[in-house]
Amino acid sequence: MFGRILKKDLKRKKTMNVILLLFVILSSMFAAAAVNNINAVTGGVEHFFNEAGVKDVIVSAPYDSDLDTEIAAFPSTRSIAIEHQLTVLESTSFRYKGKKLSNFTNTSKLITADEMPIRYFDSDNNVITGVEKGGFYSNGVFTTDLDVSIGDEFEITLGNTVKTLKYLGHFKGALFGNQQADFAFLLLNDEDFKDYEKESASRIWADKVIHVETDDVQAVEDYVDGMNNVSVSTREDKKGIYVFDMISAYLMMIISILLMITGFVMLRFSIAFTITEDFREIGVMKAVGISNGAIRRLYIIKYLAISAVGALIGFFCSIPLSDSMLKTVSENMVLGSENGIMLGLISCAAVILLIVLFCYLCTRRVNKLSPIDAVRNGQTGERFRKRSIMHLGHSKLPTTGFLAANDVLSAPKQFSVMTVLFTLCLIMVTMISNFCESLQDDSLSTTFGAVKSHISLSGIYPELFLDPDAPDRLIAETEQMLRDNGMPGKAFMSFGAGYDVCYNGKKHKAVIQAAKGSSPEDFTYLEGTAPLKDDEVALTGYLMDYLGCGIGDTVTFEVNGEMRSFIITGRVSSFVGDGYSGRFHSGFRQDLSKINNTSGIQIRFDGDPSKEQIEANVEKLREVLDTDKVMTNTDVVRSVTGMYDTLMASKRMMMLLTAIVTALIVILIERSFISKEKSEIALMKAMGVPNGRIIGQHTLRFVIVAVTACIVSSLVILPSAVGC
Amino acid sequence: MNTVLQARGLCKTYIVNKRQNNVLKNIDLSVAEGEMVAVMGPSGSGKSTLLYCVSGMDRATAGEITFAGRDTSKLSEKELARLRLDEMGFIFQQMYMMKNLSVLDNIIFPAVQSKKAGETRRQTEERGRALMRRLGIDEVGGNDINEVSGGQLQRACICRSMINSPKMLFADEPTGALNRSSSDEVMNELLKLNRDGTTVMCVTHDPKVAAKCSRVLYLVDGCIVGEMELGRFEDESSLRDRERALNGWLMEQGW
Repeated sequence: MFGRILKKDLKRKKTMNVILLLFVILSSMFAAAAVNNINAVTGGVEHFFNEAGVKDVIVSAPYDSDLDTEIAAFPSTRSIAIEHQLTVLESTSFRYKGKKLSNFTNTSKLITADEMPIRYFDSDNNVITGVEKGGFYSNGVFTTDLDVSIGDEFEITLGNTVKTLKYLGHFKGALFGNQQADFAFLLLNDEDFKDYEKESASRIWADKVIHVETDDVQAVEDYVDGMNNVSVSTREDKKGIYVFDMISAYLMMIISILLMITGFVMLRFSIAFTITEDFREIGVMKAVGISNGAIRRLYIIKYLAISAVGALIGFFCSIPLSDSMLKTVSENMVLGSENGIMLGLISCAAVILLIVLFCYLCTRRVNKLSPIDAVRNGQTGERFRKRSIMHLGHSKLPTTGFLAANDVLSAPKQFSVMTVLFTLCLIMVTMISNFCESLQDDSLSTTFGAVKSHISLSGIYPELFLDPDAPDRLIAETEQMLRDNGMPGKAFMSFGAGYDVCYNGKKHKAVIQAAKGSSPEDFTYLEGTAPLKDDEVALTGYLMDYLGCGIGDTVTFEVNGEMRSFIITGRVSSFVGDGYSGRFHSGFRQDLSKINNTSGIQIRFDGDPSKEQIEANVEKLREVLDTDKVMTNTDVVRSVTGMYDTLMASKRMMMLLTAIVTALIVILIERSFISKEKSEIALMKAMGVPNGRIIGQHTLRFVIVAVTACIVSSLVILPSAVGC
Repeated sequence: MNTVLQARGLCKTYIVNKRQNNVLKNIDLSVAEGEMVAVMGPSGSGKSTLLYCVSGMDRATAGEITFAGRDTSKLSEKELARLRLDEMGFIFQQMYMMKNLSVLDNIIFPAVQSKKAGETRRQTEERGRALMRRLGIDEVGGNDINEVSGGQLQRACICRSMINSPKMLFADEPTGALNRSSSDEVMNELLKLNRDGTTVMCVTHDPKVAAKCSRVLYLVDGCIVGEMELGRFEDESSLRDRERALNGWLMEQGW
């Protein structure tokens, strides 16, 4: 009997049930894919580190340092492995098919297969045991935007050494990460490596990376603390390089949660509507003695059936979605294949359980209906509250507008639910959209140390490390070049050096920057004033909090072999040095041996050039300088933040998804309206109201809800947008 | 007297499960201005379908219908809607009204929609109140539709049908859902309107209602099989005789 009622119900409310099914499919699909992704990335990092044999501490020291022997002498040290990393400063040192490479902006690192302190893997996840002479493997950064095949030849020039090496394929290293801003790594045969090692040019920013297996991580950290040009990271710290994958995974999780909330609100709407519409059937069932529980079971079984079918379809749809989401990650990681399916199934089961529990709560309305409802058509009079709010005779609105506005005001609860749904959809899109816009906002460039400008020449300038007058000379040459090419402007050069900033015996490594050619007004100081003299410095709040100092206090650190005191004049905001950073005045003479950060040359054209003019200047400079590394400020910000492209892809997906969800919501609600208001529509038609007016009334109701949702979502989003 | 409504060779056919169901068969009908016509017949004989077809609410399958000199079969949906709004009034068995509007707003809604009278909304509202006063329901104007009795609601429906001063009023079992006293009240109102010049066509099962009409049509299986001229209903004293005559006639028709 119940089966037959259920079957009839599924048939009768086909569209509504199909839309609900779609919501369940989307919710479970995203839940399963997101949980699988989060698990793959969080658990996957640990798995990858174990497979690769990542050690407890990783110390990066200057190329010729003896730090490895010193650490090896520690009683707590169990084993030690070394990897020498040579540096190729410019991507233009590589030629492919006769053309210089310009597909990545960061420096490249050459490493040798004879050292390999951790296990490296090829694209099939096989451990690389050696590299044949004349060949090399590279990570993904090196081949970005290149259509390269195994066996292709690359010419690599370093100093006077020019070699043509064969590309052997992609390789994965647990400590490479996959951010766009990462280094390009090339794994060479030891003989080839040794040939490049002889060149002095390869030693600029070259490192000796010491991998330490130890029982006392803290001892190693304490020992290297304060050493010049030495950085230390623990195994746990290194997991942070997969933060962008985590962000995109969590983003998917948020989408699935928002979808589920939307699905639940829809479900509540649909259940309430179904029960109200079925008052006669429910009344008759009650009259013949069927209990509330049994009637509620009928509805719960129906939604259980819909959610079970939806979750099953959603689970199968989540497999390709999950694969595509993990594609970028799996290109750079060795992921374990275990428990992905099981997690997906558990997620889908959770969705079913949540929906059924929710249905149980929503069907409480059944208890309120009585057998009298069946007899008296559900209209017992005294139960109804006052409905009409506006008065046609007093209103100046046209009848269509009046009816729509009056409908909305007469059923505030119903239209509030719709407004909440629309608001959720808008918030989903607006939040990610604002975030994407923030990631390409020009003003962000100052927080990465660059001066606010129109374009940037993102090359590395080796002379910076050798000649203290190099910045002034480079700026003058650039400004002359700009004048010669009919685009006069001002050039700036910002670079930072690592100092051990000390206050009251407390010390922390910080990157203090100076921007040659800039004036104090080019940077924003959150508090205090800009440093103007050689003994003044502005620090980030993060660093000051750590050291326990404030504006007006004096910090000390060594510059050019001399311990000097600096008065803190202001507080700056900066992402450089993980927030531990500061700023000198523009003319400050940095300690060249400690320079570790440069943002190339920034150019601000004279006058106020249009966007088109800036684009034209970029093209011209690319031609004049024969490089692609001339970028607009927006491109620089996007490249440094690295997440922009990932978020843009998510944004597009969200847009599409929101459009689908909104369309489904509108169809579902409008169908329920038509079904509920059938007699009123017929009456209006009988009275001679044209179809267009009736359609207008129904459309206007959605317009009112949509406009209200726009206002509400703007109010919700505004504080976070201002914060961005 | 002028003819308001005329039907010639009117047919209405429904196709259900590939089977043809001829609901109205070649009906010829004519209603003169100021007449009050009752349509009677057994259930399923096509009474309501006839009313819906001649009033332009439904399209006839074949035949010609002329209302106030216009061939309604040649009018577009939009023109038909306009004709219904301006020239016709409707009363149904179920007191259909718009839930979100008060009783008064329901009554004036067709006038506001039509703008036929060229008056302000205040004036329309005043006219609505005057109609309500005339039908004795002026005290419930501000009420919601669920706050009034069935009889009051049906009288409100009559007010709504009259607000645009229609040429003709179509009533489909207007007293079907009412008790005897409410039914009498509603019929008396219809009679008053008819006396004031409004033509009325009324479908009914109730001989007491039909006895107050000037003419009775009897439908069987989609055909008008009989017609009885009762003459204008002037006073209550003649009602008995009219009822008796009608009942006798209905017996002859197989009622």
